[in-house]
Amino acid sequence: MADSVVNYFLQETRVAVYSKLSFIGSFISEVKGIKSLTEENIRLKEDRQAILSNLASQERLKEENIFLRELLGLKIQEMKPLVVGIFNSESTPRGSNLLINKGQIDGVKKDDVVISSSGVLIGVVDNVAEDYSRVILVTNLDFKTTIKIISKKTSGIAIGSMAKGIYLDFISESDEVVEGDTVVTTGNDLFPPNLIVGKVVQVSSGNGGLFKNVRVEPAIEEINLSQALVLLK
Amino acid sequence: MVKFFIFIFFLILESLILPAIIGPRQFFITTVFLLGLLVYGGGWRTLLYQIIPFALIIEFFAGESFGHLIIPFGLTGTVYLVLDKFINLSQNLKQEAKSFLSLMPGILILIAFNYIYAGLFIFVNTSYQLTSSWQEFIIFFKNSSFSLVGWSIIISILFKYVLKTK
Repeated sequence: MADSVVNYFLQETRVAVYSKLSFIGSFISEVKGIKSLTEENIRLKEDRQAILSNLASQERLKEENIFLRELLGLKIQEMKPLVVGIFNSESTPRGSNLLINKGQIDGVKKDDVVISSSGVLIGVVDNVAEDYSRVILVTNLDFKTTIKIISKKTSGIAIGSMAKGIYLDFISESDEVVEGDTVVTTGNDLFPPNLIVGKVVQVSSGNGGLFKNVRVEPAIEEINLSQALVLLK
Repeated sequence: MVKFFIFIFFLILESLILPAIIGPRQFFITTVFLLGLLVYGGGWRTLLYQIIPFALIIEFFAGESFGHLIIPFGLTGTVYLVLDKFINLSQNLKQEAKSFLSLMPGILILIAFNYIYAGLFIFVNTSYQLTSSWQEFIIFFKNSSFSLVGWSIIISILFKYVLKTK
């Protein structure tokens, strides 16, 4: 009889202790749950950031894809590219000229367009000798071409401006141009379309109120100019 | 002879080394050096025996047609010699350079003759069209001053301290 009473008492005590302990355990597990929820929340936030970042890079890739598709549309297929080496640069008060190691005997003619392998417009052949030619650069005062801003409807005329790079003319105040925009050729003159001219670095309102002052940093400043392509007509 | 070797060094530096390293830009080193020869050693002899032959070497080196540089250099030299007759420029520059400030007249005259040369070069190479030459000169004036003034200072120091032109 006494044994059963003791057993009962011990059992109840264990149950009570167990229930108390289990409460503490559940409290601890709840705390653990809150901790894991917090951690999960942090992880989800990080995942969200990563997804947003991916979306942004996808958007960038999409724009890049459009740009590359436009570049693929370079109408240089009709022209035969000739690889040339550059061996001299001359500074004059009218701008810089380059000498290339191909001339009349290689089929180079005056007004042939000179580009880099990456599609950057370097300049135009100005004078052709038997075995070499002179190229005026896009920054030369003699240089002019029609341009457009990539992915926008803005177009105008790029004019070489020596140390200041290139200025864009006929960009009206209502035209959409911002710093960082890429400038390419339109193809409306002797230059093929979609050749990279440079990047807009400065936009300000003109004094007359009709046109904007837009300065472009020429892309030739960012490329290695040891070799180039002459687009033979 | 020393001047010839310095000229060749500047020509290679401007035409090959600097463009290969930092890309084609406006340097005007040889132009400022030739005008330095005129300003710091002025006279018909300097013009005929140094400046014109050196300009001919640049023309040959740059694949330019005959007269492309010689005409503007010749005209600038003539302007200098005529001015020298009236205001004695060369005599005023023959004082010994004791400090940087004493270099200033020479530097300013050299800068002025660089602009005269640039104006004549543009005028000759735009088929003597006055209006378009003036417009191009204004663009040149606005955009090339930094390089031109910098090299004028360096060349003046070279002539006054290294070549000791008195």
